[in-house]
Amino acid sequence: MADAGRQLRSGTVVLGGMGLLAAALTACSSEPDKRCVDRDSYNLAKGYKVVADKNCKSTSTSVRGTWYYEGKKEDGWVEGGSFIKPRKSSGGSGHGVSRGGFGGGKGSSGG
Amino acid sequence: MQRHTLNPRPGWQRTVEEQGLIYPLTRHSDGSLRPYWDESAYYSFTLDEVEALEEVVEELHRMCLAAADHIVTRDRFSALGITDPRVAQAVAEAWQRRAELPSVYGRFDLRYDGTGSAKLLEYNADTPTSLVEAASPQWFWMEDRFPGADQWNSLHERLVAAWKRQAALLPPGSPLYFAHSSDDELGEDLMTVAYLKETAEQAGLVTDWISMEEIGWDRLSGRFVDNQLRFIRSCFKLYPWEWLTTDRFGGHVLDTLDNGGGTGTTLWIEPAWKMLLSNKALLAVLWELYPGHPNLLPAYLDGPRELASTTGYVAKPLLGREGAGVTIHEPGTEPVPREEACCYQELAPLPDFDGNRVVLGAWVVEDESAGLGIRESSGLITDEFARFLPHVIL
Repeated sequence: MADAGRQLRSGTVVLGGMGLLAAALTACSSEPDKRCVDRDSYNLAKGYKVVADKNCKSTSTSVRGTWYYEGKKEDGWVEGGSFIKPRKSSGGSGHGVSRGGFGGGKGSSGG
Repeated sequence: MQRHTLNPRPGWQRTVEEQGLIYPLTRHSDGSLRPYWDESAYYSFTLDEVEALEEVVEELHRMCLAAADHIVTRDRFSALGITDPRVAQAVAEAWQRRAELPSVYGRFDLRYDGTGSAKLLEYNADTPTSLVEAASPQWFWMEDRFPGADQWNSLHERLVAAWKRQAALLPPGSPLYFAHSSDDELGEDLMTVAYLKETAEQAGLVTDWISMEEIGWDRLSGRFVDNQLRFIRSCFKLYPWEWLTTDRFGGHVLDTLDNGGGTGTTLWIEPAWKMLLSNKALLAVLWELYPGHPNLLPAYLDGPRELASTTGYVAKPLLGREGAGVTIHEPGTEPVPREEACCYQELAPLPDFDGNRVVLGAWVVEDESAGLGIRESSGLITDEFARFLPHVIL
């Protein structure tokens, strides 16, 4: 047991709004339009084949399901969307303001 | 240092999600989801082990600062692949004015197996992640599983204290923005930034959100603005400096850079001098300045030299993250020339605990040792498929 005179741990950890944010992000209602697709099914004319959501949620499925965002669906196939979750719409453009000068498809920034 | 198995708490996934770890599972290339937060095992350390590691961390941090000073005063920027003179100038100025620039945290990756010296693998000092799980769910796990025990983890208290101490360096009258890239699908970057924002608020700072993609450039005023067209005077960015300075807005960053003491209109945290530490060339500069140091591995920039035939080596791209581009070369194999600039470091295979390769992530807040996060992987390279395991001091 560690010496009582010295503690290497925080006395307390308080999570205010962050816990609420985490709850909101894990709730389904905050998700943008998305469909579970078979990532290996790509067809030049039709896009990706839509599969049951369970393929994106469960570990034990034969299909490699991946969420596909904001595509156009036709006859069980979807195209024109993205595997990248769409960003929220930005406010206040115009007035000589340009946006999108940072970022753009590099993925995670952390290390 | 020992590894123990333990039954996970019932409902652990929901528990750690509520504590900020909204990415408790990792999707692997075979499509399966496996735990990233892995509490089916944990590590225990003795207090003596942790106190010795703390000293190593603080000494390594001092050595890294000395190496940064060496790079600036000897103008060794080209060794780091920093060839744009404006960027080199900004980094040098940030280094010289570092007392006026807020700087919060970094993470050393160490090779350590409980015996012998810990060895520095690299320093993530610009955009370190795996902070949330180390600071929050790991702490609450200890409270549940080992109430009253200790843990090498004062991250939360130290982050709040760091913001308090450095609040006076922030431009007054404007919130401190917290920015992540919305390209990060996983949520890891967002939650890292959310957690740091939380600690800043607990320190009494006024904060706000923005994503890197949403940051606007107002041509009329020549300033960065948020979604309501308010000026962004200071911004914590979980976004590497090498992108910040080379993106389409990179020129604006340099033009408007508040590099300490109100020299410009937008101040960025971490500051530009952190580019010196997060670059893998630092490892070679350290070996040059402290040859034979017990906590360093031999490292070179011009090639693997003797490592190709003696110990084998690891080639690391100067600016890689999450193990990307790292290659391993066993001794005696023909050196493979790399197109991109690399640091060639002695091969020191990660220790094996019950078939898992372990790396210690040792946190620094301001200039002091602040905590530990342990990651395990199945191979020698700790990549995005690694798992995070909690620890306790017993």
